[in-house]
Amino acid sequence: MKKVYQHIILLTLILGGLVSCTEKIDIKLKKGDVKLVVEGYLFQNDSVSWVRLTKSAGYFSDTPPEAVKDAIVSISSDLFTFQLNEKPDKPGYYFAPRNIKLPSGKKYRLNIVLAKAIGNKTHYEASTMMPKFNTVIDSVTIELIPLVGRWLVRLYAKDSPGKDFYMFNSMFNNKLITDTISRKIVIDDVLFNGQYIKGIGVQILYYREIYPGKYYTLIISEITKEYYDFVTQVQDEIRFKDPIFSGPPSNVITNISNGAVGFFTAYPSIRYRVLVPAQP
Amino acid sequence: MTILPQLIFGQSGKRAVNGQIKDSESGEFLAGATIFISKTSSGTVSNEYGYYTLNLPVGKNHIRYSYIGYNDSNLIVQINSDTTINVELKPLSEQLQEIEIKVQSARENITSTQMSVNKLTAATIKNIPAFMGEVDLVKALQLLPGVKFVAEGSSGFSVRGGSPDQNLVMLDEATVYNAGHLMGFFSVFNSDAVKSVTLYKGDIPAAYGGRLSSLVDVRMKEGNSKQFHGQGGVGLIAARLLFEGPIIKNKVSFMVSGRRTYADLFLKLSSDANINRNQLYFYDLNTKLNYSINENNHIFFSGYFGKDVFKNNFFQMNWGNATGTFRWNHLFSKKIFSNFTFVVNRFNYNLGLAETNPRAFMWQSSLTDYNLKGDFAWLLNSNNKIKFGFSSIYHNFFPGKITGIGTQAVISEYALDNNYALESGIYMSDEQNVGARFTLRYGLRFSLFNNIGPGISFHFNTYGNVTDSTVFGKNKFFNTYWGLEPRLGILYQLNENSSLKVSYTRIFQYIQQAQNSSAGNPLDIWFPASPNVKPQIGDQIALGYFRNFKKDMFETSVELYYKTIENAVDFKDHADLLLNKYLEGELRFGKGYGYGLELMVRKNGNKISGWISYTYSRTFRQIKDINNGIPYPATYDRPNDFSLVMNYHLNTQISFGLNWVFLSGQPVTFPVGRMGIGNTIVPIYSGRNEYRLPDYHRLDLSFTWSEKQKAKRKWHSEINFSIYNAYNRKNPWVINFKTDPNKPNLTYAEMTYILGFLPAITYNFKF
Repeated sequence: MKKVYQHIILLTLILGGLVSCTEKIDIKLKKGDVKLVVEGYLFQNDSVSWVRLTKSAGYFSDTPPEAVKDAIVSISSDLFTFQLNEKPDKPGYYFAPRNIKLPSGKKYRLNIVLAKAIGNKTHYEASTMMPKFNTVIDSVTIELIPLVGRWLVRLYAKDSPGKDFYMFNSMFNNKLITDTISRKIVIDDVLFNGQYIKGIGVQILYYREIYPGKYYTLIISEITKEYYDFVTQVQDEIRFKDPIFSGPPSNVITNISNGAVGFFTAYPSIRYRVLVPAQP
Repeated sequence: MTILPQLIFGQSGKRAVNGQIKDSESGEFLAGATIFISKTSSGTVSNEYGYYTLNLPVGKNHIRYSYIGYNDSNLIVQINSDTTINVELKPLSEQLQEIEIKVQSARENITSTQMSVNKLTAATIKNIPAFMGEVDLVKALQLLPGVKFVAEGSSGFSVRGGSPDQNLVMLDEATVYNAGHLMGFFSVFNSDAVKSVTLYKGDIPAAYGGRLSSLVDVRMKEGNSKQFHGQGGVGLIAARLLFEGPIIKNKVSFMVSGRRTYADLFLKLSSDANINRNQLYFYDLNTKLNYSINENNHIFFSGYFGKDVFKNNFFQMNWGNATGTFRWNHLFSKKIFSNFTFVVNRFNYNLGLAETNPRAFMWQSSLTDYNLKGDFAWLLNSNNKIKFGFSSIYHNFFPGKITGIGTQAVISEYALDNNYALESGIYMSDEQNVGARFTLRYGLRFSLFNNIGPGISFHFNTYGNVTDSTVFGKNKFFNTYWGLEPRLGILYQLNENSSLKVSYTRIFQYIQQAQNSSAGNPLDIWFPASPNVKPQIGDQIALGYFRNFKKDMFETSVELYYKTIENAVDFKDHADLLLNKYLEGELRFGKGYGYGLELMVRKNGNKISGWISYTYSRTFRQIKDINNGIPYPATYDRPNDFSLVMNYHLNTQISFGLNWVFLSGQPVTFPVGRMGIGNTIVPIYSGRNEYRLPDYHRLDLSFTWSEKQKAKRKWHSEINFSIYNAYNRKNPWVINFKTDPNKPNLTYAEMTYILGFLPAITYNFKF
């Protein structure tokens, strides 16, 4: 939440007259060790859970991430254990069975056994909690900001007592608009803990991404602090850095063992549909 | 020239001679003027208020008073009793300045035990080519050996590898917590109002403490006590105006100086309401009043008020410093000089959505100090000059509060707890002559720091996560640190023109800034030592060889130093420092060390003046949880640093200025790999600061044409043309690693540079 204000300040100051020029520059970079990259999501109720396994590469290696195939990927909790299966047409993607129920408040463990070692390691683990969704959604509104030509989505809700971390995504025409991590909005409730949320802006959409007269869906997820930290750190590392506001570049946290990178998380979500209003 | 000798005949031994040295035209005190006694080949220098005291043998004495840029004054005085001799030195005339004259410098660099110090006068600073036409004291300091800017164009600076918050910046003894305007591109010091600046790079006098790296002692003009005078200028971005003069001649004088940028005034000419309603400016107001009550008492009031304002229909932000200083110089006797100071200084910022926005909010933060101090100088005898004193600062930290404005505000209120602390010190030092060649300066400062309630202390686990808290009531002294801070200086005068010096300094720093970026910004709050944050402790040893050539025309120096920091503060990766109640959990502690070699050749004179300096230095940090605990180059580790500063006065009307600077590139962290997460390429980084930006270099030029002086004409003007970055070097401000928006697997490095070839013109006048 506070970072949003920081970015407003930076953006405004840049617009306010800081004259800068950019150009591409050749830099020789070392190539680090190849690591296993894990991207794992357990969805409680609205999607099929999946895990993606790839390999890291040199920063300037201009090819798609190399899939890690034929691994044994399983999820376990104190209730059950199930295996995720790799789809032949999507190498490196491992999907959970459709009928699995994942209760909130439980701890889930990810186990990965590779067919071929990466960095001399074949076994990797991670664990996460499935948070409880206690926030009561009141309403969602959409308004056009003519000055910048963007749609602003506002949330009205009652935040629950205790620490909450939210992630917001947008869908329109059954398509996820916020399909990159840079476009996901994550906030904590430090400024309104336990209070009524009076129309906080939770999504900013380009003008042509949604149309008046059709339904727009806001996906609201309750996430863990660890995943909140992961997303904000990724967003920090991929946005423009400057000597005035940015801290030193740092590796993004991970909860995967044995030197792998990436993240394994679980979260419940709810979807709220709202009609896109006619333009003023 | 005024001489007030009191002659009492028939006594033997030595007698105290004191007095004050002033400019004969303006009445300004001359700090650092030399008083030299030929009979004993000894002498002293005037203090920051122009006062001096020394013991002279009874009988006839030849005393020479000298100061750079002024005519010497030679007196033959019969001394039989304690005597006051006030002297007024006459500035060299323009005609004399036209010729390359013999320079009799203060020779302080050779004869003083003080080392690692650089002094710049307002005149020197004004001769340096100015960035966008704005003469800037801090930019001048950045050209000195051991001093490096923290980012292109920034007013922040690192001294001998220290972080910017380890510099104690004082304006007339008031602490300036944020010395930058416009995100640091200009400093808060209006050159018109500044008289001089002294930079101590580690060998900080015992009278001062609280910062590990340096003391920047900026003194404002006192105000002309002889006649009314004004000066000002109009540049590309700002206009300046100063008035000074006597209220009661030779008794009470004033100085008022203002500066304001006016870019936003042009915005009002736009027909676009989105543009013409923008406000973007900064201003400074410097004021001073001084009253010479009598021979033994002198009081000063000085104030500084500066602010940056940015406001439009959507957003507003302002920040600034305000300082007020009251000083009382009192002579208890001819041998005991004292100065009592009371200072209030405050830095604050406000930002938020403009009130016109139905969801407006305001974010406020401030730091306010109340400082009382007393300093005494006692000439015990011919061989011992003792200084002692005390200081006590009450800090009020208001780290931040957000308040919603109006019924639709998203936020009602969110506030961090205030912190209160008392930072005190007592000190004593003695400068002792031991034989003809040795001079010792030894002293001890005892510093004491108390956290005072009401307050809350959070308890953290080893990961920095809060586990519990303790609440303390009002006025409860709930945490105390203290430190013994020895200071030592040894001077061995090899001959009249050269000396060797050694110094050792230990300093405790009890407050620091939550600055995680290299250049910093006004939102970086200051926070105190606490039960979770131990004071940083700096030790520095330095060795120097100083030699003057050609009758002081050239001053040269070689200094070696080694410094260490205990309890060095850094921030965990991805630290959250904004409005964070648990800020202390974001801190990580360790140690730091650095070393360096500084070479300087300074050319005095009125025709050609300037300096060449080269520094080789390294500075490292080793902090738990950062870089896996492995030592890494600190952000300000830039091994090679070269500066050439030259001024050439062709004649009374035309002068040229030139700077050339070269620095090794700043250490940075670059990616060594990448991972695909969420349809995004995310970098995997090297160890902390394993890479460097390309080397930095830049040439600045200036040309000044002055109107010919006419005897009866009071108005005098000049035009200054300056070019920043004359050969348009593209020095990287930052390098970002980006993904091509059209080819999602293609990544590249992109350099951002901000200050290319930048010409400026300024019209200056005085009357």
